[in-house]
Amino acid sequence: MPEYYPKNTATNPSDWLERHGDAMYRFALMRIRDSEAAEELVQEALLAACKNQATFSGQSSERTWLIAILKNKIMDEMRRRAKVAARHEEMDLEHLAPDPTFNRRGLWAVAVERWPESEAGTSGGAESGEFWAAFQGCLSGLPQTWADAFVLRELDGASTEEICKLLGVTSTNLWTMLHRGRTQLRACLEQNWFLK
Amino acid sequence: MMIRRIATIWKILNAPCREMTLLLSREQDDPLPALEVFALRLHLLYCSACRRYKRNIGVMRRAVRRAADALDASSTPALSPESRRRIKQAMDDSSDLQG
Ligand SMILES: [Zn+2]
Repeated sequence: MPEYYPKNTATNPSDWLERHGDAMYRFALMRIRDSEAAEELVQEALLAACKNQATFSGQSSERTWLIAILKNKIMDEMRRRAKVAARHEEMDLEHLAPDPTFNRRGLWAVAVERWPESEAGTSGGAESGEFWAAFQGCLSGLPQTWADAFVLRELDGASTEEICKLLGVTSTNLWTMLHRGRTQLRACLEQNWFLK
Repeated sequence: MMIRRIATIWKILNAPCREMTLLLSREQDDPLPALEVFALRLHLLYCSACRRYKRNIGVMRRAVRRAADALDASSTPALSPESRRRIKQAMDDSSDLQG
């Protein structure tokens, strides 16, 4: 039988940076939120790809294959920084300061406004860049591990099981982190975007 | 045993907004147990703030995903010329090492 899909024919490492470097950088930056760390991860992923060219089957596109390698590097980085954070208080949910959104009886201490139906121009185009900037600003107010959990869940659609394993937390802790994170983001985006 | 169980059910049914919003958030990630679903429905009947919270976190989720997709499809931000040079150099070095 003739080989219709010979290995490695479609791919040439010297083109990767030119053709996929920027897309890889955006992918990493959206998840890691630090330009230097994102550049570093793109470089690591490309070097790993060079070493493992044999794993490229030609069945998926070159871009998909490179992004999959990059994604693994990003997850390693998130695992690493969750371990560092575990030594600090942000992961110690037992002793965390109570959520200022609610009073001592657990009732709303802040207003929750009705947002406009239009979803305020987040339907793509030029405004989505502005929304992204507002979102990043709000996200930076969260402890890093909460932000990472939110990003894994909302951008990558990772299951809570996968996120718990990656960040080394129990599901009860993850639900709490996502809840506190969403509550803080909701209030921040209400002020800085939806009702601006 | 029975009394403890009833106390637990009572506690879930009468939980305040903080616990109800935790359930609303959790519902976005995992299926809720039947009792929690029931308690939440009941709470939302009379609590407009939690109804708005539910709607807002849904809007927020869709907005974030749409903006991420738009950014994926755009051409900025891009690697800086310096970092591009640095990465190219690193790739050349490693291919030299591999011969
Ligand atoms: Zn409520």
